[in-house]
Amino acid sequence: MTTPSTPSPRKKPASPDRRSRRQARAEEEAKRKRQKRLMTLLAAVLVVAVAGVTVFAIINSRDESKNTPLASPMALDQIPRSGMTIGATDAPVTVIEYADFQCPYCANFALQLEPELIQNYVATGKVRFEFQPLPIISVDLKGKQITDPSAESVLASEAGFCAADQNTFWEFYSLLFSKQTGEEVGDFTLEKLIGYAKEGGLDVDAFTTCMTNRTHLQDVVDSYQRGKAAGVTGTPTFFVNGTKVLGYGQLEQTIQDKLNGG
Amino acid sequence: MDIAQWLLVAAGTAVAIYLVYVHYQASALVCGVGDCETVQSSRYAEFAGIPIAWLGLALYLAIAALLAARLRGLIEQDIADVLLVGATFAGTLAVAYLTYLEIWVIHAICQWCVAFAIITVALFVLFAIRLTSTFAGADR
Repeated sequence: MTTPSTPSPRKKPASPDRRSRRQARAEEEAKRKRQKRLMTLLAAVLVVAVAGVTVFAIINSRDESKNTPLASPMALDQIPRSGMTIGATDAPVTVIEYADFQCPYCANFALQLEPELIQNYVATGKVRFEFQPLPIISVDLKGKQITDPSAESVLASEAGFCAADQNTFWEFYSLLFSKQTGEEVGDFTLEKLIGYAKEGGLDVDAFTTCMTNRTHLQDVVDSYQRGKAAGVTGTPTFFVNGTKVLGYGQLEQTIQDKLNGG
Repeated sequence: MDIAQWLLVAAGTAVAIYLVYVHYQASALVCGVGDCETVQSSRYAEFAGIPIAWLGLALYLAIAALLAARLRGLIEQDIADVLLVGATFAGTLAVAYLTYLEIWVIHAICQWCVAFAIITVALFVLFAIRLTSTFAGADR
């Protein structure tokens, strides 16, 4: 019996060729395993990336908070108003807003920034604010006729005028923007608008008559044409004592400049 | 490739920092082409109350951290390559979605957002090419 450390006389030591072949096979096997591991990791990472961005997109498009009015609504009761205008008639600065009730950043402005502007500038007599509906999404972007009864931007604009007839435009304005979820998706059909009027405490019969008769269609057409003539190409666009401001990033600064004599 | 990746990461980080800054300081927004104000002030500029620009900056800080860890050998190179492709792939999907929002929902284009998107896609392509050669190396 030979001891384990004693090489068998029959067993020859592996030749250098066989050793390198074995080593090469081992290396190849290790590489294959590594590649498999990397592929698995890559697949997992890509799946996580797709899932993450999908969740991001879904939450982003459904974020209800984007359409929720501020907790402290505009304190409008004490401010003079007329139709779609609010603020003292002798205010040194007049801001005219051209907006579309279907426009998402108009809603952002109306619900998040405007209450603060109303409180700081309109309620204090510094600014008079005037709204001009510009149904640009139905007409310019969706290519509908302004008289088309399915053009939701136009219907919402008419609803604004009908609310103004009841001196409730500014409350209705916030309510309409809070209902917006997309473009021509059925948020501002006649039935829905009547429902909003009811929700907003308007005289529903008078509102319904106003809407079904299309009492203010011509007013919407006039407002649209005024906006176009003024060179408005996107909403919201503001005119601060005649100075055009696109978007609302610079609006407060422009108001300040005008108040300071700019 | 090494220099290109660092240059792109630096550019992406700079654009993200600028977008975070102008989110809070709208008057600093410089927009030569497009309508950055509209995009920046749109309701889509925030996600669950967090400015989207912060998410962009977080992405670039993560990429920079991965690159640095790869360079210093704190993470295996091929694993870092896979993670970099994953991060920039997620970034590419996100900027594709945000560009869709700009064109079809907000109807305004922000030049800084476009620059950010281009840099992100370029980085994804760069990392994907490197990962392909990593796989080819493992295959041999």
